[in-house]
Amino acid sequence: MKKRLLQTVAVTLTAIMTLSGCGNLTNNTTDPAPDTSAVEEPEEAAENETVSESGLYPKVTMALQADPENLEPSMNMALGTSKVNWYWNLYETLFDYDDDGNLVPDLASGYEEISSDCWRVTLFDSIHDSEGNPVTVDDVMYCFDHAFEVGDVVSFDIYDHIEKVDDYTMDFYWTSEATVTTVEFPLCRTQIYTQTAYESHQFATDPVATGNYVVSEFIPGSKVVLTYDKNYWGNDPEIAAQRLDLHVGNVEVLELDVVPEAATAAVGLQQDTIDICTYVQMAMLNTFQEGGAKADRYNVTVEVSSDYMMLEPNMSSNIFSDDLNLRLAIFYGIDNEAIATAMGGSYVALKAFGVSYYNSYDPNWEEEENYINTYNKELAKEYLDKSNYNGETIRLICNSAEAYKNGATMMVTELDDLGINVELQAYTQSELDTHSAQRGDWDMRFVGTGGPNLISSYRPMFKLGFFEEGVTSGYLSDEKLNSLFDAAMQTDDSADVKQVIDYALENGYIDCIVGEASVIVVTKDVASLYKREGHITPTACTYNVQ
Amino acid sequence: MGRYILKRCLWMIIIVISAAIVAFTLMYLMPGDPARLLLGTQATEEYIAAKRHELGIDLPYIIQLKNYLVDTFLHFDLGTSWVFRTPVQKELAVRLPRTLFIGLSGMALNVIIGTLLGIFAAVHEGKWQDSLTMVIAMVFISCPDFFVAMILVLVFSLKLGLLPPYGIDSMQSYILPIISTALAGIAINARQARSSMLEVIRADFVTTARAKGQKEGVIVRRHMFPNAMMPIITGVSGGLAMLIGGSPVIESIFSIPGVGAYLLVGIQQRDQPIVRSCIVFFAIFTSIVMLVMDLAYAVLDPRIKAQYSRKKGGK
Repeated sequence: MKKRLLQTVAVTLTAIMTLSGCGNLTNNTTDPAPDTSAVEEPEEAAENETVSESGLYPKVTMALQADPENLEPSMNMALGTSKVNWYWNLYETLFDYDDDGNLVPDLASGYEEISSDCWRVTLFDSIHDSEGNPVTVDDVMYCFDHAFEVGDVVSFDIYDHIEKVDDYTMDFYWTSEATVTTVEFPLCRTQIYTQTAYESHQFATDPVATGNYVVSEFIPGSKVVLTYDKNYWGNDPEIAAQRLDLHVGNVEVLELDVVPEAATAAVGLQQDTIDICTYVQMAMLNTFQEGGAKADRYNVTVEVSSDYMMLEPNMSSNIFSDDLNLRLAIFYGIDNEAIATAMGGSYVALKAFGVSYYNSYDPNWEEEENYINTYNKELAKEYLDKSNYNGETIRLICNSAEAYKNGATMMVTELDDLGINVELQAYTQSELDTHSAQRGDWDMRFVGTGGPNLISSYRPMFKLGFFEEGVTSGYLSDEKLNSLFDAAMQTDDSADVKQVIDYALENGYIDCIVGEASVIVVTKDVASLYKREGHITPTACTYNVQ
Repeated sequence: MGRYILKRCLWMIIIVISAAIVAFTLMYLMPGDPARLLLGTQATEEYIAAKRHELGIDLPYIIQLKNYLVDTFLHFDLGTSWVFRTPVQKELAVRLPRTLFIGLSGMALNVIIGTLLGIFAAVHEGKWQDSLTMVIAMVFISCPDFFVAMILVLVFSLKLGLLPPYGIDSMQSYILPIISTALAGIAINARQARSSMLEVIRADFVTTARAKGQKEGVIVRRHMFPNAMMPIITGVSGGLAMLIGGSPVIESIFSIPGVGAYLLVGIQQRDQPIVRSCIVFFAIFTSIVMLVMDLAYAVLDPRIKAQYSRKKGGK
């Protein structure tokens, strides 16, 4: 009996050891294009080897919290997804924005305002994709048509149509007077690729585009590997001088590992398998900060990101529509600090309308006392007494993700303390979007917003025609607010934005609650960080090379 | 026996089609608009309507159901994922081996180690070996698998640096997920095996075998173990059927792109082709597993085999 038992245990142990030593159950891609299987796995750079043969930093591994799912061209990447740090290495647009909000060349060398509603845009004449297919105006028009076909045309109301002048020149016709900020989506978000490549490849897994990197490996749910394209069209020094440094590739290989759990990503950092992570939780930072076990290998930066959460009343609801006092009672009765704490992770309480991430945000706004930065229960009760509230149940909707639900629950508790009866209904994002679009389904919603600049982040709340004609996302119909918003959109100037904010605060339309702090843990091999719109772009960072 | 198998296969077809109809109906009734989710909050009603038409979800229920059943069972086309934009069949073909490998390896550990521990505990009933084994089993049954997974990552990846904490880059990447999957099952199997063995230990035929002077090892192997196997097989069959779904929790923690993670994305994103296809696949796999287990009973227990044969032409 004992002998047989020992034999069985020995066989089991042998099986386990065999399992750990061999096998090939690894990187099966969903669509094994010939290049994918032929590319060798780049070797890990040893400690004293920081230069590849091409003079670039050999390899950077970055953790992604969400699976990219597919590699189709998508304007949704501008709205904050896991692609936001690297998609522009793959797909390029006609223009970029510089830090001052001016249009700078990307695929287009420039533009000329023919009239207030017509701009002539000229392409560089040497653009080609990674397979050598040249990019012309026909391809640009194809990309726009395709974007409309798949419905991927958010915020395209300014765009009317394109007319071809020649192979590299086209006229953009706008529906109204266009400005640098209003043409954001057509000119700076629409990703361009060739019709030839799109019709011969499955872009979801095997994209071919004009960016300085190509996809050498893609395993949905696991990783994306980008390899520097030595034949990149934008390497021409004359062209490169006109464009952002975003398009300079300083890394030979960028590996993006999908690691949904922040704790697992932190382990990866500590094991030196991850070089960059933007979602380490505050509680885990001490390992990487000064005095920590890995402080010699990593730097830590904490910044407020572009996205923030707001509390928006439904102005078509009987409860709120004419009751400014009730709105003020609610806004003064909510403690942003408590909500940020309840949400955990990396959220910070807001003190003004928006976040300091944006250029037009003025930190002095935080000194002006208003309901955003003031938690005053007594004042809240005064407003409540003056209001028409009779104990009705107020329906608050939010995303069912833990952080948002915790924040909303804290709100419910605080308002209950005041005697305001709130019922929380948490939904998945799909359901939340559906309910938000139905004016009778909610009374308040706790949702996020963001954008390429501060005024754009106000668009849903202040611009008429969001879900329905003539109203905002909160079913507010205020022509003056809409005018102020349109004026500020033309300039994105702090003074103009302030007018919008002051008007909104005066009328108690919106409350800003928390912003998301972006915690970046990055290897010390990075000499300087490069960011586009606040998002770190690993390939454009500079590295310490010998 | 042949007729029995044929009858079960015919039932399988009915079960799978029924499961497909239920899955389709549930996804149809689920709140939330897939078109709106795909296009985002700033999409206009016009584009949402166009997307619904493109996805085919603006048609009446019965037409959608008909199209779905024809595509799935006549054309063997599981559709294209709305989120991943790749054929579901292709994606499942790539993900299934990973999930099966983790599941089957975990199941093998369950059965081997769990059964051995159960026999060990039963043979030493009442002694400290029995108590210790059962306490350890209770601890692992009580711990959620994600907690065990994080502990394993902490010890083997972080502290000892022996194994990678995530990914599928090498075979070593699979060790921690397999152990995480297996531990609770080992504990359950150990308790089950102990319980089954204890029932058999007291049986008359075991007493007779001992009285005849048979060696203890032979008694355990030839008399006790085959009789104790039946409940264990029942437990294994249930576990195998659940295998195919993978563990979304384990796959998420270890970043394994398997079927569990795929199904989770499908549910969260209202990706109907993924969810419907996975459910049909589960139904087929479960039916096959149940059939194999029933046949295994017949092989192991002559009494059951005799029943099947009796139905054919006996008394």
